[in-house]
Parts: sequence; structure tokens; C-alpha cells
Amino acid sequence: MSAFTHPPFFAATTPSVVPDTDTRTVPAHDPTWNVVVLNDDVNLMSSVVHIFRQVFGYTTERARRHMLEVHHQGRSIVWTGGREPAEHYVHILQQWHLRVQLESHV
Amino acid sequence: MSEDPAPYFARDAILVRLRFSPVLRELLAGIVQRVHATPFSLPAAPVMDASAEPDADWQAAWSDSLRGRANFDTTALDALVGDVRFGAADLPLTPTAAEAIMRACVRVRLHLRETILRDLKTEEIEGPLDIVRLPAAEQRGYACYRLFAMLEEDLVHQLDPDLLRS
Repeated sequence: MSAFTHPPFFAATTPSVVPDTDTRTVPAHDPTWNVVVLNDDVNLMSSVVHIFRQVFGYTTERARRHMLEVHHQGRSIVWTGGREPAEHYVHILQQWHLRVQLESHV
Repeated sequence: MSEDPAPYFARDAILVRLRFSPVLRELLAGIVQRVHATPFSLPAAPVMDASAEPDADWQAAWSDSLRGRANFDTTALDALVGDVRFGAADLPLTPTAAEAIMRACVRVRLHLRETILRDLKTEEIEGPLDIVRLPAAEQRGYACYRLFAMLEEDLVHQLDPDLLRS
């Protein structure tokens, strides 16, 4: 994630982010999925916070925690839930040119 | 330049406030048009069941949708940089257009990183860079890269003022 319009992040602080979970009931046989955002060198930190707020409705603080987790650890599980909304979120995030993948939630 | 940029502009909305020379505007416009005409590598649709046959229709629909969005976004940016007032006066945008332009700025910067700026490391691009030592083409590419990032940053802070407060 590009930080060039901000002071470089040298701190080794590792943000602890609890993955956000869809609270709707999912049948036991229907697996859940993690939407995972991966780090990149182009997207601006402020833009990524805005995107997380816009797409998931997160507070600024929560969106920033996910952004920092992506920045420091290379990835963040930004949402967990059913297949169709997970696909929808991946598609929206790809429109913003974020690197996204889906993982089966264990 | 789009023949009808009107849908992208609005009153009392997000403002494009950057100031720079007309020469730079022409450079930016040229790069946006080049990116607009260049197919970019679309990310694949997620594979939910690796054991199943790949669904070509699903993949095609996924890619078509992403391509359509990217074209819409780049058209918005094309309209902006093609406006002779860009860089010389404040230009109002609707929030929808501002977000489209933000996405297009990322696409253009990705393109620059993969082409003109491919020999520069991330640390060089993000850190202090002695631009004078760069070849002329890289100097121009770097200037455009920075300017599109500044534009994106300014738009996002107007769209989401909480980002500055927190």
C-alpha cells in the first residue's frame, strides 16, 4: 500500500484486528468465506480506509485497523460470511483495483 | 476528451483544486488517453469450488463488469483532464464522479508503474527522489504519478473528512 503522501510507517506495531463477521444465519452445510485484501504498492492508505468505510460501512477506526493490517502484515480478512455477498465484495474491491482473494473460512 | 463532460460536474460538491501549468495538463491528458486505449489485465473471478469445471460465462461476465466500470472511470478522468480549466480553476464534481476519478487515478498510476516507471523501486517512488537524475521520460512519468496521487488524496479527504479528523 502506497504511503508516499504520508510519513513512512516504520513502527513495528502490529494492529490486532478481529475479522468482521456476517451475523446472518448460514446453514451448517453452507461454508463461509473470508474476503482477504492483500497489500500493494499503489493504493493510497487514505483511499483504502475510505473504500473499507464505503463498502462495508465500517467506522473510520475499524477501517484504519484493517488498512494498517494490510500494510504491516500484507493481508487482512476484511469480511467473513456467505458466498454470494463475499463474491459481491470481492467484485466491488476489484473495481477499486485492490488485490483481493477469497478463502474458505475454517 | 469526452464530448459531453457535463454529467461529471456539479455545483456545491467535491472540488478539484490542483494548480499546475497547461503543459502538464496536456501531458496528463495524453497519459489518460493512452491508458484508456490500453487493455489492462483484469483480475479473475474467485474460484469457489476448485474441483468444479471452470464457468466461462461467469468469468466473462465478471471481466465484462470490471471492464465496464474501468471504462466509465477512465472516461470521467478523461473528461476532467481534457477540460482546459483543469489545473487553472476549481472544478466541482459529484461524489460519484469523484470516486470514479479516484479509481481511474489508481489505474493510471498502475499503468505508469508497469511502464514508464518500471525501473524505479517502490522506496524511490515513495521516498525522496532526485528527479533530475532520471531520464526525461521518467521525469514526466513521475510527475504525472505524483500529481494523480495528489488528486486522489485531495478527493478522498473531501469525500471523507473523518479521515483527517481521526
